[in-house]
Amino acid sequence: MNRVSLGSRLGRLVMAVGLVMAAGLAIPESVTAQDPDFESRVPPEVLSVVRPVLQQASADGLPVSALQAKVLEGMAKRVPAQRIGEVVAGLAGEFRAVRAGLQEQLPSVALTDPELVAAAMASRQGVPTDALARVWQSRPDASTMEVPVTVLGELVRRGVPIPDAVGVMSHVVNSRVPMNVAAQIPGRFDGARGPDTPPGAALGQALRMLNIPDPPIRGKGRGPGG
Amino acid sequence: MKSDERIIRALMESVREDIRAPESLRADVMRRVHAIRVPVWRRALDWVLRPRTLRLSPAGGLAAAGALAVVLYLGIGSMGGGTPADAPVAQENDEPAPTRFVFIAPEASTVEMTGDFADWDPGAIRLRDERGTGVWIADVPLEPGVYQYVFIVDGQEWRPDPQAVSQVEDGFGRENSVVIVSEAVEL
Repeated sequence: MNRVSLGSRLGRLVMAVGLVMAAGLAIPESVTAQDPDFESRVPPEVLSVVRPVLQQASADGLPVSALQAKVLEGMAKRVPAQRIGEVVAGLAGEFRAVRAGLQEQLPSVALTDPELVAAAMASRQGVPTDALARVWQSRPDASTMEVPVTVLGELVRRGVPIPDAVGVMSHVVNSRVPMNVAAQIPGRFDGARGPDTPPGAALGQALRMLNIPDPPIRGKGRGPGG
Repeated sequence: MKSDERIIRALMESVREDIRAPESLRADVMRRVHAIRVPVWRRALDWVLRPRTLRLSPAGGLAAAGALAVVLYLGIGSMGGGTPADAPVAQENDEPAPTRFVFIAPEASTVEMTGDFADWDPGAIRLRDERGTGVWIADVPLEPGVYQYVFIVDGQEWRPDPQAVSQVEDGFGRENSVVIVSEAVEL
């Protein structure tokens, strides 16, 4: 009867287990971090197009939930899979660009997913990165910038000069104006805007209607609208 | 004198003698008194509880009563009263305050809405037109944040909300409406 070398068998077993564990640790999180709930709702033809984008976005620390929402939106609107992939990839690229631009100017800033999504939308609406950074710098504490950045984008989209919009939103943020008040600025602006009312003047009226103190006078010696 | 009488007399005389304490007794006693430490809290308590006589003129009494009345009035007033007109009512449970969506479509048979808060499920939220006036309403509990949404008329026609704060391109050739849901109360 052959003698069985338990030591060598045990050693090989231990080594095999160790190799499996090491392989598991070496696999990128972007591959192993699957979202079964999300993937169960996406047909294979769409999943095959978007999965690489989502995996790379996850590895890069981008707002994956916002990208997944865009996939589901495309499916609900019956958009072709290829187009969904293009839109999601483009959105991920916007996230990367805005984050890189903000971190270049504010190296210590830690962007949350909602803040990055809002900043990307504001950028799409015409707000330059340095303007975003100036508003961010006015934050006196760690409160979220999602609403102020969204309002900033809305004002610029409505034709408010960027310096005016930045000055107002910096003042709103720094003065800790309640966000339920700040969120009303675009609507009040629309109400004040008339054919003979410049955007800056309409913005000033909107602030007064909301009892928001006038921001400090800008360098040209005047506040928004005058 | 008998011996008994002498003993009794000696005892009587000893009782009559003045008792003189040693010279160091007083110092010894005071030294031991000073060595006793009374806790600060006990001294404070004794000070608070010790009765005192307060002398007040009639005019001073009226002034004190008036000041007390003002303090009570202001104190009671700050505890009660209503909330500011634009302050949302706090929820008793943990659910977020509902956000009301209104869509006017007199010609519609059904109106639904969806958005990123509903994973873009087309049938997620059905609006109601309880009075049959074509004014469709839905109250959706939403956490503070910025959301995109659309209305779906009769299950087929996707429409943005004309009353929304903004319309944004969805990337697919259409537009989404934007709603900003802010914190209920800012302290």
